[in-house]
Amino acid sequence: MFLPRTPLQYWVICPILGGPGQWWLGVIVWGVIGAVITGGLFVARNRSTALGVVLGAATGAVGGALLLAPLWFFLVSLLDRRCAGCGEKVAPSGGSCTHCGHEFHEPSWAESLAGAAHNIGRVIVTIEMALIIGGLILELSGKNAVDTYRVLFEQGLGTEVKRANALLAATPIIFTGLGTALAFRMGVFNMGVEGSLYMGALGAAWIGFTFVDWPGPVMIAAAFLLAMLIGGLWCLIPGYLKARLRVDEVVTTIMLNYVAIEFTSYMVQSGPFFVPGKSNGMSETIAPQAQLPRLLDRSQLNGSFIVALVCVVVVIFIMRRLTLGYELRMVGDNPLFARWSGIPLGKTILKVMFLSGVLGGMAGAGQVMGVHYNFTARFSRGYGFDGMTMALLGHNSPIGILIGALLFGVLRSGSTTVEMFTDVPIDLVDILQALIIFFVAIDLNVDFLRRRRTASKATPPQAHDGAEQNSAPVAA
Amino acid sequence: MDWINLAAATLRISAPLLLAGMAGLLSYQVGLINIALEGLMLAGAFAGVAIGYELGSTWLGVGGAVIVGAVLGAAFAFAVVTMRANLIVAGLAMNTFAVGGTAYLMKIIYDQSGTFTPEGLSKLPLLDIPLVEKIPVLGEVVSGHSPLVYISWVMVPVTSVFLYRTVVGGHIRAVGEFPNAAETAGISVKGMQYLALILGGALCGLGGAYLSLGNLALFRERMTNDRGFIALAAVYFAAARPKWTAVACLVFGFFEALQVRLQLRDTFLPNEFLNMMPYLMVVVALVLISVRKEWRKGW
Repeated sequence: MFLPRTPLQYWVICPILGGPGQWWLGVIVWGVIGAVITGGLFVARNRSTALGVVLGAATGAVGGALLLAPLWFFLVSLLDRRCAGCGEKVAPSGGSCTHCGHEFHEPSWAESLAGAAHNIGRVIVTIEMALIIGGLILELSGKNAVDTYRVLFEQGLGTEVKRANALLAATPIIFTGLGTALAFRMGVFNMGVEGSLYMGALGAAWIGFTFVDWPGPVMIAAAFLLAMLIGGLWCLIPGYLKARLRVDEVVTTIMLNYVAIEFTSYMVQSGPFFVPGKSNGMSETIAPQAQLPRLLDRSQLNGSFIVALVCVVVVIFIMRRLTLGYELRMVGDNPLFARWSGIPLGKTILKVMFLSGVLGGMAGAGQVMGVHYNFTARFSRGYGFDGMTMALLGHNSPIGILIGALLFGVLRSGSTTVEMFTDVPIDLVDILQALIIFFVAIDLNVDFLRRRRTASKATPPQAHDGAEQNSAPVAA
Repeated sequence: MDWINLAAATLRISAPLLLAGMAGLLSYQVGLINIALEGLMLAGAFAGVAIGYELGSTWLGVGGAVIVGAVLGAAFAFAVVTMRANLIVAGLAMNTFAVGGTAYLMKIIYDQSGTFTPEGLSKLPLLDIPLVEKIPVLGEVVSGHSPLVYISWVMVPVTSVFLYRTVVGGHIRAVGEFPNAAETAGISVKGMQYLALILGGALCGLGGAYLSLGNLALFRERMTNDRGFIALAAVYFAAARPKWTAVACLVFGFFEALQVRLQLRDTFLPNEFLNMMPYLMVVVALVLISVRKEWRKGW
């Protein structure tokens, strides 16, 4: 590793190479580099005025500090820090060592920032890699990759309405991503957020079309609460089975998703919520005062996006500051150690599964009250699955999930119209998603180099009897 | 109700489940849970139709599906075994990739969306078993299916013999039981994992080919319809014993056949609950298995 010897090296080269400490130097240096590049570009255009150059440089500085520095920190984090207890490499911010349980002090601001930058950088790099491979696939199938991506991002980000639609597409993914991440962080592979979403959506819709004479705010609050409760209870089923009977939660949650989809379809197609006059599979429309306010006139972007942002903060708070968050992180890092320290494993699983379902229910309520205004059978376009992708992508960091969901929202909303302007099938987004998941799965971007080095002493993966296998640990 | 018809339909419907089930069983026995069955089948289904159409022969299509399945199985094994990816995540990636990839290729190559019906490609011929077809009831039930249905039945004893009566099969089970011990005994753990996943991929490809070439020669987006997960459930149900996996597949096939018939005659139970059945049964089965296990441990 590069070690500084002269002041020049210490102050300039170190931050660029990500040497010892001084995260803020990195931000400054990359800001300056960004400013020089952008300013230079403006100078090169001979029609630019001095003011233009200065403004360009300022934009470049901000861009450099925001985009390049995190990317750089991400690359730097390849040279990870080591655990003081056992000397193994560990994650770049607080918690406890995954190998020996050695406790770290609460992360300082600088470390938190570096950790967040690390996560953001990882998300961006992974999506970039998926886009590059996707571009190769496009070129191989005889399409123009650059043009396709240009159209895709124009459609996703081109106008105010399109940007709002991207946020709209990101909203349910943020909820489900957060919900999934809570469980993943604990090492419980909860894929059942989709089921909670359906059950919660049905509950919210029921409040919406039953108590039509309630005032708006009460109704919205009640609908959200009921959706959260139902969603949470739905996830408690596999949670209980996992905590009490050690039933493998991967399969039960996937299966219960289908059960929830079929059950809710029944409720509106032939069950109690069936409305004779309406088109098939739709419930009654919810009362006007229960419809969430729109944030923009010509887009369906609505209040649930704000709720989602609040949830990001709340989840960060839970994970970082509450006992529950500490417990779930500890269980996720080292279940055995957590048990010996007296953390009730079963109870923690139940609590976290409930919270996970609560967030799923909120996603459903948001879609019902903000977008559809009724419960439509099978309305979710795989929001739970997208959320899982984001949880994996962001390595369970709420900020990472937020960034990932926003980028993915752009892809999703841009792709709906991309077929009209190019002859590229919309299924490209599925391929991109698969590539993203795949890159996360093989952790190419972080762990590959390290694994090559330690591969010789590693034991083969998945060494258990399948039925007894606890959830394959999700990288935390 | 037409019981003979129902029994024959059960056998037809459970054929792809049997093939995928044997694939899932192999990977379960080697200690890897194969979530990618679904995607491998879907890829096999598309490859069967596409290769069959390009080469102008249904049987070549079936062969192509097997090869594509095996290649994708090898890719999956590379990710999981060599790159040490998380099994479940890589499996989900494979499923998503198959869904997106088949739809994408269908639109790019054949400019079709939703369904691709290749012109001039016939489905596999139905096969009558020479003597059995003369027996009154049994003949009607057992005879007159697509050859792949018979292959799917043959695969059950073949898998069983392979796993329990051959050296390689024993090695596969040893790796699943206790990889470190297998390694010490000189068995190549990675080799066995590759082998199981590649064989599983080939079986899934065959199952997919049955879906797209067995009854009609056409490919539909997402035509596997979660059969991979149901097959996986059957494996869980039977704790990866070949005979009982086959029985579980037949039970699931029976439910599906029953459901198609009950839907036609508006009955006591709403369709949605019938659709739910396999999924609920899986949950119940897993719970029962766990309860038994905990019970043995002394609650």
